[in-house]
Order: sequence, then C-alpha cells, then structure tokens
Amino acid sequence: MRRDPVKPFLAAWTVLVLLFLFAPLFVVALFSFNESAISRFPIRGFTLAWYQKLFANTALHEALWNSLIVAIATVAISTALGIGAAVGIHRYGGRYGGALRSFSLTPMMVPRLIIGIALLTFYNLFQTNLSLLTVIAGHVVMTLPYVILIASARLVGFDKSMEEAAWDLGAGTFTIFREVTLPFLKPAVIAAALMSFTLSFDEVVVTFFTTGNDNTLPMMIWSMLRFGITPEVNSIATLTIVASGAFALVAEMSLRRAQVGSTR
Amino acid sequence: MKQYDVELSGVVKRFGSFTAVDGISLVVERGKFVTLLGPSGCGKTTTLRMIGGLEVPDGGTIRVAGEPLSPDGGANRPTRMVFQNYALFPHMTVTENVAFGLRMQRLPRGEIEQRVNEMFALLGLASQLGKYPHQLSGGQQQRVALARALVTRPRVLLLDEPLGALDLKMRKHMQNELKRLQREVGITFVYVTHDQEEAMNLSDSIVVMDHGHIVQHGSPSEIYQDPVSAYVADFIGEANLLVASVIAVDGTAAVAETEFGRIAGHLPGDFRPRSGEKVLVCVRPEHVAVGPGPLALDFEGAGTVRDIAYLGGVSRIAVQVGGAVVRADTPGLFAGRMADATAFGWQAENVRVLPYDPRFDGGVED
Repeated sequence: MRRDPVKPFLAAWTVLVLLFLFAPLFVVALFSFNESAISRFPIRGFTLAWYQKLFANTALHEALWNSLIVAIATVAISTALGIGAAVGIHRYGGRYGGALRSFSLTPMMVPRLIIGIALLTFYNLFQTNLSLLTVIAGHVVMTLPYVILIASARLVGFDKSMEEAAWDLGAGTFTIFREVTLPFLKPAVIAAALMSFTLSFDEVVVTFFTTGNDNTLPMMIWSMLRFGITPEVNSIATLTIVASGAFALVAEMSLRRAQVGSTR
Repeated sequence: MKQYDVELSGVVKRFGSFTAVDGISLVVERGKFVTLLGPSGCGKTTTLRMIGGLEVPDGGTIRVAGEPLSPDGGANRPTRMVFQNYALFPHMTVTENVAFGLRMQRLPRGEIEQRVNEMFALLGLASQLGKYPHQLSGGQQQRVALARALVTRPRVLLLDEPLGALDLKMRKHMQNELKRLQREVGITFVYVTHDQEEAMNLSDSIVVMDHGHIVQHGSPSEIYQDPVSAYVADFIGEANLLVASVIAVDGTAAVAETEFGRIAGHLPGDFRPRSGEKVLVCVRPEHVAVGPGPLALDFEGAGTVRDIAYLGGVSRIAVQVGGAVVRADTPGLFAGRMADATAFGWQAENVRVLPYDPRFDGGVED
C-alpha cells in the first residue's frame, strides 16, 4: 500500500481532539471519587462518600424530579407541536413555506438570556404565577424551533406520492398522517424528542427567569456552585454524564432501527 | 351496447397561467387497454390524475363507471393508481402494503388474507411477503405496486409511466406481464407513457396528446398507418417528412410538388387542402426502397448514399437528394457503399399528405 504522510498527522490530530473533548469530563469523574474535599492533585484515595451524601440529599431528589417533569412535558408538547407545524408548512406552505420555516426557526438564534427576560416580562404582563408550568412553557418556546428544524429536514426527502397513494387506496387525512407520514417521520420524532429532552434537562437561564419556588436540577447545581466546586457537584456531574451517555446510546439504537424500515 | 368506463368531456386543467389540459374529450370502452401517449408536458399525466381524482379539473366533466367523479376520496372510488415511482409504503412489509387498501375498505381479516394471497399468486410474489420494499428489485417493487392497486378490485386501473424506472430488458418483460395481467383481470387499464413502442405493444387504442390536446385516438395500426398529422407520424415510428405544395386533390388522393418531383399520396380523415397549399408529405423509411434503378415503383428519384447504419434486422440508408435527406430501411445488409449514386422510390399507397406544421419544416433532423 502507498504510504500516506498525512496519516500519522491525522491520527495525532484525532487523539488531540478527543482529549480536548473528554479530558474535562474525565477529571470531573475522577475527583468525584476523591477522598479530599478539594479538587486538586494528587488524588488522596478512593471513596463513595460523595455519592452517599448525594443520595441522602432530599432537596436534590426534589430538584431531579422537577427536572424530569419539566423535560418530559417539554418533549411531549414540543414534539407534537413541532412535527405538526413542520408537516403543515411542508404541505400547505406553498411558496411561503421557506419563509415560514425560517421565521419559525429564529427563536433558536435569540440568546437564551433574552428569551428568559422576554418570557418573564410576558408572564408579568399577564400576572401569571411562576411555577413549573411557566418553566415548561418557556422550555417549549426554546425547544420548538429545533423540533421544526429536524422534522423539516426529514420531510425534504418525503415523496408526496406516498400520501397520494394512501389517499388513492381510500385513506382519510388522519389515517394518511398516522399510517404513512408519521412512520416516515419516526427517526425525526425520536431525534427531536431527544434533543428537546437534553436541552430542557440542563437548561439554567430560561428556567432561572421562569420558575417560582421550584428548583430544577441544573438550578440546584448552579446554587451549590456558590460554595465552590465540591466533590458532591462532581458526583452529580458524573452521574449526569453516565445517564445522558446511556440515553444517547439507546436513542441512537432506536433511531437506527426506525431507519431500517424507511430507507429506500 | 358499448359500456364506457371513462368519459371525459371538455376537460380543462390549468396550473397558474399554464393550461396543462385544454378541453379534451375522450371515451374509454370497458375492459380496454388505452394509452395516453405524448412527450413530457403534453398533459397526459394530468389527465390521468384527474381521472384518478388526484387533480380537480377546472372545467368539463369526468365520469368513471358511469358516475360523475366525487371530489372526496374514500375506499369505494372506482379507480386505483399505479405511481411512476411505485410510492410503496417503506415502513410496511409487502403484505402490509398490499393489504392497505383492503383495510381501508374495512374487509374482514379472513377475506383480506385470502385476497392478498390471490394477488401474490397472480403476480408471483409469494416469496416476498415479509420483505420491505427497499429489499426488493425494481421489477418486484413494480409488481407489489400493481398488486396493491389491483387487490381492491377497481373498475379502472390507472398507470402513470409504471415501467419508466426499469432497465430495458425488465421493461420488455414487464410489458408482457402487464398485457397478460390485463387480460386475466379483464378490467380497464388507462396507461400513460412517452414510449411509443411500449404504447404500440400494450394498447388496444392509443390517444396521442400534444400541448394539452388530443391529436389522434385510434388503434395502434390506425395511428401508425394513418397518422393525421406530422406530429403523430414523427412521434410514433420513424417518418420522412418533406415540404410540398398541393397540385391536385381528388377525394382522399392528392398530388404534391416537392423539390425532387411530384408525389402522389393519401389524405387523412377530413383534411382536404386547397391547390397550392403548403403540406408535408410523409413516407415511412420501411416503405422506401433503395438500390440500382429502375425500381418499377409509383415514385422514383435519384440521389447519393450519405450514410449507412446497420441495425441488425435492417440497414438504414440516408439518401441525399438535393437539399433533402430521405431515409430508407432495407432488410439485412445494404449492398451499396457511401457516396454511391442510387435510386430510391415508393408506392403511392404508402404516402400520406399531411397538414403543414412548421415544427417539421426542413425535413427530419438526424
């Protein structure tokens, strides 16, 4: 085989990039098992004490629970609205479709801080009591453009004659959507749900402006940081990394399975 | 009494300022294989989609199986469509695809199963049941699309260039398959293609379309032997088209002056040109004889051999006559050589005198 002078260079480059990406995460995980309360080398000894402390912290349980409620509700609402919007724009947008799509994506470009302030102003205007509901509404605003983006990208490859064929065989509008359009969109639905979940689950800024007395997990971690980076924070971080890694893996696998039936 | 499965009367369809179908009227007899033939943009697919209810006409009426077309869908519509790209449901197995229409008709499970199996037997799909469309070859996907439409027992099957995506060999094979299928199920097929050979092979009758109009409707032999216009003659088969001016007309016989002499021929339909009118004289290459003269034919001319193409069954000879080129098909190998002087000629019964059409002025480009 021909010797490729670029190959060792590329290999080194890849290793560097991976190090850059994962070294901080690795350090966090490492210090979560460190006996010392200060995150500094050298490592003193191995302990699970920080994790035990974590599991005993009831405020943290509540925050985790709140985060899950918000994330799951956000996923459900955002995915349903976004898929519907994308299909609507695709089918009925006509020559305004492109403009409509771009317009619906703009909230993605607006800084979270601005979205948070805007939402707070909006809620105040209508004298809404801030609660998890207002947080969910805020997260939907934040995640909806991503869902529309993902679903629209999938719809580009959609063959309209499939819907026509279903109509021709006697299916009504709703049946066509349920039996033809939605199954085609399945990979996009999974990807969009995953995206919304992750975005919502670790959101601090929008939550900060839209929540009342309820704390979510990222808010809790944020407030714990006021006392410096404790090993306890490191252990929450490590658990979150492991959980989201597993989550991404499961999602990737189901995405592949969903795509097997729909690639042509 | 003849029964008509499809009746179109003055049907018009516009897309914005473009008139795709411009007031066409057509009847299709029950159980016939009818082909809408024409180049892309002639309105054939739009016409088919209107019969199928996928487009709503802007004017005129369409009746299928004697009933006016209802604008709303439903499983009891009399037509089913086979789409150009098959439009199979990618997330469903072959069986699920074929059963879809029956499920929409709310048939009992047992009957669905029985009918699906009948279809599989008819189309030789039995070994593909559990597969997904993307696991099938083009020809197999085609069969599934046919099965999915036919299993619902429509009165009329509409086919939109269904063989367009297949390679030549598969296309020939599927043509024969389609013919057999139509005979076996005995229902009306309305078929759209731009492939004249396919149309000739399959159809009981051919509807030739041009710019949203029907230019001729007849059996394949009528269309081929008695084209009403240069457009039809050129689109179906090969044709030498020579600009001429009429000298005399007597009934359906006419004599016209071309740049290499007077040619006698027949007039189609009710076309009766005046003396001196510009016309096109049409002779098919297989009716043109070439060789050392004299040929003892109704018309004979002399020219030089400009090109010889050996096509297997025939040789196609281009004969240069002044500024024009006459193409001739002679069986087997041609004895002459390039630049040879040669005689050519034909019998008057094979000559058609057709209305002038500027698109075919200057002979036929090759």
